[in-house]
Amino acid sequence: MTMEDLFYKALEVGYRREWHKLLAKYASVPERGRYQTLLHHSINSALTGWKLAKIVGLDERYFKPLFVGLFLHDYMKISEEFQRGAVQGRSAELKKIPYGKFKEEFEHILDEFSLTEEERDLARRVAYLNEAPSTVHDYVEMLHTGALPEKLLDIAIIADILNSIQNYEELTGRAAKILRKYGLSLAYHRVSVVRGVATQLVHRAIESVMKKKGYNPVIYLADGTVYIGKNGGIPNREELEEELRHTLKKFLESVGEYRLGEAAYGAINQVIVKVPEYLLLSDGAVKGFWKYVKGLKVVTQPRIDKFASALISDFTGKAERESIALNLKSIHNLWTIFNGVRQVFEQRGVSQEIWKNILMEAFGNQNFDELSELANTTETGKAVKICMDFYMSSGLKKAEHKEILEEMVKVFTRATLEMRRQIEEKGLTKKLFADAIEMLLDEVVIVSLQMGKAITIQPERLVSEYTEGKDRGVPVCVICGRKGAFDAPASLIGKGTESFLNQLPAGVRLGKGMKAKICPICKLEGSLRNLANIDPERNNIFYVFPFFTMAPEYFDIYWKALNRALSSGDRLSLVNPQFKRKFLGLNGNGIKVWEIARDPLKLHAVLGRSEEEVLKEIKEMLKREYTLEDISFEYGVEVEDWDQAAQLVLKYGFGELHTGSDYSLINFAGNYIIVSAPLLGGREAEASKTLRKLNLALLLHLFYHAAVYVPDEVLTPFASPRPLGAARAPLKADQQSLLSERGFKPLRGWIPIIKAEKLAKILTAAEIVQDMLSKRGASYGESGLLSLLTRPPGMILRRYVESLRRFSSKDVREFLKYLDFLEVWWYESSFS
Amino acid sequence: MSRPLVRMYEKGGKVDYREVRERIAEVAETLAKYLNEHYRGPPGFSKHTIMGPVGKLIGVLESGRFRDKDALLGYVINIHTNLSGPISKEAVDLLEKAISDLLAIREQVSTRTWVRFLRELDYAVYKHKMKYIVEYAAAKKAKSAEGGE
Repeated sequence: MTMEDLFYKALEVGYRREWHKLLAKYASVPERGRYQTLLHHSINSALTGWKLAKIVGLDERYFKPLFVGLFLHDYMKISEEFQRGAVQGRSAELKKIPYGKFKEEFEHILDEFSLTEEERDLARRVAYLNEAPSTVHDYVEMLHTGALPEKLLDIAIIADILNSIQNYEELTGRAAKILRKYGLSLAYHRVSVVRGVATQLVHRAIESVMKKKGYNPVIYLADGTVYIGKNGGIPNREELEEELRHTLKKFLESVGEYRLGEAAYGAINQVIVKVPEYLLLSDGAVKGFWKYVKGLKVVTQPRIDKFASALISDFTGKAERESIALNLKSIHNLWTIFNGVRQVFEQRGVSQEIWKNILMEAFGNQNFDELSELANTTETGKAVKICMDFYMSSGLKKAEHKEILEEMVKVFTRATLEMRRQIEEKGLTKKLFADAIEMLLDEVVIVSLQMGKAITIQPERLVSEYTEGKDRGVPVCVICGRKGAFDAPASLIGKGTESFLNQLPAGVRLGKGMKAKICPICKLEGSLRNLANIDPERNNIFYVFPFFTMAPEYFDIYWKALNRALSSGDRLSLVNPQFKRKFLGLNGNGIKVWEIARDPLKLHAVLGRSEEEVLKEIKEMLKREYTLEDISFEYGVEVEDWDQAAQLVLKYGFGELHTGSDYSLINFAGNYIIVSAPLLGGREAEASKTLRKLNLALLLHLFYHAAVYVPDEVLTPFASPRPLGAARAPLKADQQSLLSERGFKPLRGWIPIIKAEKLAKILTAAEIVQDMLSKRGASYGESGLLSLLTRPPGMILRRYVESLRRFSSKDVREFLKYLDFLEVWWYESSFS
Repeated sequence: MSRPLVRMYEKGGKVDYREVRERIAEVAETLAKYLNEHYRGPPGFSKHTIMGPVGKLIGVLESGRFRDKDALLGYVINIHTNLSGPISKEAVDLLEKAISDLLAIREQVSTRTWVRFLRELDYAVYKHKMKYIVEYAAAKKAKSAEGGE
């Protein structure tokens, strides 16, 4: 049995016994604690043990019993007494060694792993002996259990400790002491703020540098990683900066030229180049940008009404007038875009002569001063005149509309490439996002616990900034509060960049000149999200966290496999009502998530899609977003056609960034996954939308078996993530009290793990009931979901029955099936 | 210190609402049983038609028009007879039990809570009855598919 086979066996054993709903760790003090399920703790301890065994060089014949023993080391936590206490955040006396019916079941579980007699005995001893006895029963039993080889016992102890820490400071304790025996030391890195995609890149870069220094990652936390290594050295700031720059560049190159170009473009009536850095990155990005521009509607089919009206005196024939207006308007818009582009380069010191020479070569001598003034706001009469002069004298007059676009885009591409070459010669391309990278590293601390001393890379500068404060009048970043340096583009951070700002002087009007400011990191974060198709106005963000600690292998084996299943669909399956029904078992048997991880097609079979249909869907998705070269780059093989590309995606998933038509999955580091999903609830009130958001968070929790965090605002960064339940959404006071009233009392916004599935079923049933009512034109309107949850089920049934044109017992029976879940919600509550 | 404008007093001692709710659920089942097994009113699917005498009973309990058990029972029996013909002893027993339970609950809770419970009871009985109707229809359909009546 490989580790992967053992892992899936253990997962199945745990799921079948509902360990995913039982607790192994609880928070007696929420500020310092965390909640962890028995399934998560057991399986991650086993994975960590396996890894430690490799690092320490344990005899391979012990690997399997070590895994199984660690998987069962907290078996007795299934007892009712322990669970009752854990739910309330308090301890209960716990016998570690199974007895009576527990012992029987324990042996049944051992049977399932097909161990030899020797392995079975060793596994039993690992499970019994990795902690000191806490009761007389344990003490007596342990005396009869027999000893374990020292190395094996040490590994079993450390694996449990590492998966039980509540903060980084606890790493200085027993685990570090034991590891010293083997010439190993612990180290960790931690970020003070979790920002999203940028932080994932930081995690990845540091992990890569630490590996080069001889450290192995053994535990992932959402805000850091714990390492074990023989070497006591840690990287310096320069090494980290270099690695982060390299990681960022590699990521940007991996997303493909077309997408970079697409992400660089803003809007014709806003900032034209919203992420100039992308244009400066590579020649490919420039080509991608112009390729994208060539397909824009403002270029291919612009609105010509105003231009056509302005030409009315010169051209009496309608067809001719409209044809010329179309050509002129396209020329106008292309020049407007080019002017946005050239400004990006000119602001970085590129001379105007560069582009003028290339354009002169192509279009002859033109009035470039006038043309370079063209903008979206240029008065129509003036714009028509300038464009007409250019049109008549540039040789484009005889060309078709399509040919004009081809020619102009070709020349503008050439000019942009030349300007970029100038930038490269100046060495500016190496400094892309330099300020953001520097600031990001200010938020990192790396600690080596060798000899008990902490070495940090946090500069003293930061301390002085905090103690002295910022200068008066310096604008702050509207997202994170650091020093604001850039105007905030609405296309990156969402609407509201010109709303009230507290640094507005009296009497000044809001407008283009008075925009909100953002810091370089938030700008980088916004730009990266843009590449991942995350629109702050149209998407929700869900962070999939470990239950505080997690083995890297859990991410590699399991989460990546689940990502693969999700990413082989153009739309996010988890929001599909049909999938929800089946996943939660509303229609009979539920879906087994570990089976989906082993075979992504299982997820699609649920939705009634065959392998051919899935492959076709992937093919279409890829064609839309990538080139064959991008796919070849991603998988490191020469991809010849789209069929082969689709096969690869189905088999291996889509790497670290995947975007469907309404969702994105981002996992550049194993510390957490970002899932971007479409806004749910349409025109419903905010309270209903939040409940839908909470439901998706709960479904993600059930899918990944992880803690899911929904930030208050899409871009808001947060610190010290500490899972206190299954899922957390920004619930308002009234929603919190509604949930508490019905027996789902959130702890600091987190829904208890034990209640997660039940609440997900209720909310999903409510969503389905709402849809059924809407189809009959009988929905409760904007208050939607919230109305359903605050009315007796009978009242909802009456509304449905009365909305039917003709009574149909079949329809009513179907409706009642889902309404029964709301009955659970309604009648199980404590009445207030 | 500001003086409170409204002071609220709870009627009687502390009430275990969970327990009261369970009793309300039992009453709902009793009334639904009466409707399912003993009441054959005019056909239709409006709430008014489905609830028959039970709807009327809940109405008078809410308005407080009658407070005496016998008066309430007599009122419902009269409606039953008008709509569905003579009433059986079992039906009267079921109604009597439900009314006694409800009057006992009324003594325990405040007026505000009482009205809320009645509203809940009203819809609970409606849902029970509707469920009975669709299940009956499904069973009938299955029977005819098997070649029965």
